[in-house]
Amino acid sequence: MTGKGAALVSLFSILCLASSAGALEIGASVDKQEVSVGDPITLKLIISGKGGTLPEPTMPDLSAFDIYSSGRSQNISIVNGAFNSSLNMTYVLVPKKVGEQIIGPIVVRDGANMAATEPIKIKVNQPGIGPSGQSRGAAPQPQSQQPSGRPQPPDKGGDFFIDQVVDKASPFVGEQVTLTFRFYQAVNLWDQPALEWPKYNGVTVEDLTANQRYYEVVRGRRYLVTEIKRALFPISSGRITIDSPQLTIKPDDFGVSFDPFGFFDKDLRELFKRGQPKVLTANVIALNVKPLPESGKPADFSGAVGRYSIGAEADKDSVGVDEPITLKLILSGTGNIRSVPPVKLPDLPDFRIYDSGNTESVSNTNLVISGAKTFEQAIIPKTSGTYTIPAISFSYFDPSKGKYQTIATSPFRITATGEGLADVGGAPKNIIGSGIQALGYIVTDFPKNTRPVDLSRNFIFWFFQSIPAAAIVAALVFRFRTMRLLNDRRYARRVGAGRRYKALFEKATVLKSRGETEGSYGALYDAILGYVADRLDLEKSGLTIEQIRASDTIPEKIKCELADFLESCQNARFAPGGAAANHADKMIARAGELAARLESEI
Amino acid sequence: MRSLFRCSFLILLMAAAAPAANNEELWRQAAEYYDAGQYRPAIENYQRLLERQFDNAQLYYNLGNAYFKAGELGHAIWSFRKALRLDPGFKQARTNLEYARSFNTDQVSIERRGFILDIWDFLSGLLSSNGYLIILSLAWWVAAALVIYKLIRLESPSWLYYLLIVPLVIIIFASASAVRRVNDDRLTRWGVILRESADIREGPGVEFNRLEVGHEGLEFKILSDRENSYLIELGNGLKGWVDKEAVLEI
Repeated sequence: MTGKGAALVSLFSILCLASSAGALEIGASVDKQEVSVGDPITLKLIISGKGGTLPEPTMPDLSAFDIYSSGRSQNISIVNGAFNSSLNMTYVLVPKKVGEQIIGPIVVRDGANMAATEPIKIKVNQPGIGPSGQSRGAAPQPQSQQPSGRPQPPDKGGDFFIDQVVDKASPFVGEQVTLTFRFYQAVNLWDQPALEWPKYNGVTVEDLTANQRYYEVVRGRRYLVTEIKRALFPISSGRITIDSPQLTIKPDDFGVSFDPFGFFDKDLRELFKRGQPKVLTANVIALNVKPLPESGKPADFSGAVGRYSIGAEADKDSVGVDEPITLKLILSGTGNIRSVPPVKLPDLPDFRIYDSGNTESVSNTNLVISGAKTFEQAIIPKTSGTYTIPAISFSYFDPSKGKYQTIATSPFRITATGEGLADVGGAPKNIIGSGIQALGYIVTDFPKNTRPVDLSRNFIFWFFQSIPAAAIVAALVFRFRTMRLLNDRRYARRVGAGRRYKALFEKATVLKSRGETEGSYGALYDAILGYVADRLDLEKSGLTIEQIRASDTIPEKIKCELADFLESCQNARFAPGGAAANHADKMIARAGELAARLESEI
Repeated sequence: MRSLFRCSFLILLMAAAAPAANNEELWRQAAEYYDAGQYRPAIENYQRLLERQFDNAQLYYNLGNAYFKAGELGHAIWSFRKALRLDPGFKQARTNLEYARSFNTDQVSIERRGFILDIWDFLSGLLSSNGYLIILSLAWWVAAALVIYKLIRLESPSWLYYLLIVPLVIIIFASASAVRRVNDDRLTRWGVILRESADIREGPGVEFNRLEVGHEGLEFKILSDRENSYLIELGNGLKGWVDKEAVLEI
């Protein structure tokens, strides 16, 4: 483990698993063993054992380092009904002294069981001296010390690796730091990779770009590179570590190098080993965050960092007293716009002021977080008069210039007229349609304990809707019947038979009442004969009593009675001296009965 | 005996009238408390009315105003939503609800669903379910009259078919809107966060990862519930589990 190569390739170069008794185990690894003063080292501890809880490790004397905890995670698995846990802990060690430093045994105890790691030696050089005594200019350097340019990715070799870089190592508090994550891939994957970002302490994060893909040759090998950029905004000054993301991949081991013909050169047993998951990690980055300078800090500075402009607009410049004006202060520019605190209005004693909220829009054009934030206030003049809203100033720190800037709006006038209501205090009431809304008055009249009708559950409403449906059904029946009467002659005659019979029957009654009995018998004869012809769809003019007697369609029991009635009509009509006085009445009654029987029989 | 009967009748009559008088008195007192800035006693009076099954939109509306003035944003939003559930056409309750919502810490941005669906969302949210049902009824009667005329008159003009398209389109739109409103107002379960903040987690319990932190007044759909947690969905589609004790179901 000597030489610069050893330091560069030393990610997880040492893994000391020591076990003393039982299943309790602890392992420790560092990402490099030769560093300069101030360069961070990542120390990873893995404690595993049976049961759901694991003991905390006892750390050795590490006074030669500044120590930062960089997260922990615990996994619990059940194998054959037994609980097994593993606890992963990550620390960032920053060497303070030159020379050979030793990370002593890290001990973990659980009752009688104990486990400890082997000591780890760390060679710490003077600042500016790289591994094995080489100067920084000649050796690949940690990301935190190389803010500009494109560093070579860590030489992990193999088919995959990831790295992360930042565009500046010493930003100001609140200044954007662009983090670039890259996944280098030389062979196919069996499945989609799963990226897990670390938990960032001391920074806020905004995503800048989704996956961008391109090819890049690294040390003579062509890789497909997937790149993601994020904007980090340090919250406080001092050293902040950016932990490594974890990328879980399932390599397609069988089809390496994208060579389709290479399939025939492979051992087929390898087929069953495909897609085994691998977890990739990258270097940890240390940011040295500079505090904002105290000199020249404006009194109204509220922490905004970036480059901004400010504007003010009012929805009207002339209102009545007690009427609200919506005043919008629009702050726009580049920087962490979400964290910008509200712009303070100057003292306006002639107005009541209510905060109406704020809106913001954020974009990441050209990989720089920018946007606009609108602070809305309702200002209400208390008395009539002409007032000047003075310039509204806003101060921010411009990291590109390294100094504070103060910007301001232009003053403008507002005229209030009329007499207002007494100052009721609190929020304005019932301001409707003015751009702001306020709480309405309460209902003071005692209401009836009734609920409004819910039509969706109201029977009368739905019954009311059934009336058109019934009318449509009736219209359909009417339409069907009309069309059948027009197109079906037999049906039309059957339907109309009764009506025509009734007309002749009434004519017979009238003639009889007038004493014209011959005519009355003739009408009865025509009525019954016509009725039979209509019902049987026969020609009335050619229908005779003999034909009725010979008919197969008329039932026998009524056939004789029908023929007898028709003969009686003819005899009475043409008999010399006429029939008896009451004979016509009997025939009319008989015709009625006969028609009723015919309707039911034929 | 007759006088005894009269006395008993009068006592029964007074007993029946007493709660109503008390309700009115409670209402009047609550309004006085409210005007005097004593919002907590006003809330208590309104709550006593609720306990007496006196639940109507005006009561929830006043209760919402008192809660808002007392600084209880979650309860205020809950009350205004209850008022609107009882009376969807209660304009002042809707105005106050929007006003109260503007004080929410969490301003959930509703994702745009596309031009057509955005228009549909807008149009189907203009009226209450009763409003859409009345439009549906009018269009239905007009459409039925046209159909009946067409059936009765054998020689009716062909443009009647085209005229029929108008009420039919209105019927389809009004029906869908009414169904949506009924679904949103009555069938969908809604909730609001009452605590200052509540974790929205990946699963029903504190052992699950936290997805977001919801603050007082945050409204959401309740999709299902388990012993101590609700599965919720925010307006932006985010789903997660929230402790039941932090939530009041609307």
